[in-house]
Amino acid sequence: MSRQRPQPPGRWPSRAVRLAVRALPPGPTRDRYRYEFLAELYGMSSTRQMRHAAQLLSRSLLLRAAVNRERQSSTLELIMPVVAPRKRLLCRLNVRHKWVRRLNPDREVYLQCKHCGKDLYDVERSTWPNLGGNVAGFRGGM
Amino acid sequence: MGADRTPRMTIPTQLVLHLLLDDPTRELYGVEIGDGTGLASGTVHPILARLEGRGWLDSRWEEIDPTVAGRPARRYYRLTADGVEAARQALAGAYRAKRRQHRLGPPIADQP
Repeated sequence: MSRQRPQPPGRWPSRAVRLAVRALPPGPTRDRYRYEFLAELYGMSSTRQMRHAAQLLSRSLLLRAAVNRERQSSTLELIMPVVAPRKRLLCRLNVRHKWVRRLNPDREVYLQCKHCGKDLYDVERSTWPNLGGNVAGFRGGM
Repeated sequence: MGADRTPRMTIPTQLVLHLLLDDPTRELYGVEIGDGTGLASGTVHPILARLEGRGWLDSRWEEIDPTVAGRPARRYYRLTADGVEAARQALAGAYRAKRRQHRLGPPIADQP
């Protein structure tokens, strides 16, 4: 007894799938979706194969956007610690800060630099008093 | 992978999640998900890519011998353990937002 084999994809649906995945970045991602889409066509009727492939083709840019977004966000997660925003030179040298009022968890007001996140108390403790520039950045008005 | 990032809860995304949550242990491939939700195949795959990228879904190739089966292996999708929890919360959130919207009625600008 011979089991009926699933109908392989026709020429045009196969071409449509190949065209659809060309929107994807070349390499493993593109290969994966090409195999996946072609495997899905097996066993479908010719009409359904055409419809299925046409739908994949019509939304290929949507798939590219989804794949690229995920690739970018995962890459960003990997490189974020390395490319964390650099502190301004003036902040690093404690020459000038941009002080803004903040509330601590006990609802007490303190001054924190808008750019580097240092607070006034830490800056005053850590800098050489002669420089004095650290407080110069605070001009009363925020 | 950031399973904590919630994708946009569009209606098609909700349909896909509902289907996968019906039986979280069951694995489905793209055409089955399309048939189960009534969505076009071109709509299903971008959703699956987004959910997989966020760690809500896991996918694997079917383990068959293509020469015996007469067809290539399919790609099967299943919710991850984190994904099940995150999907339930996201769907509940989407449902609450919808209820709130119904209770508030249409935006003021639309009212006569």
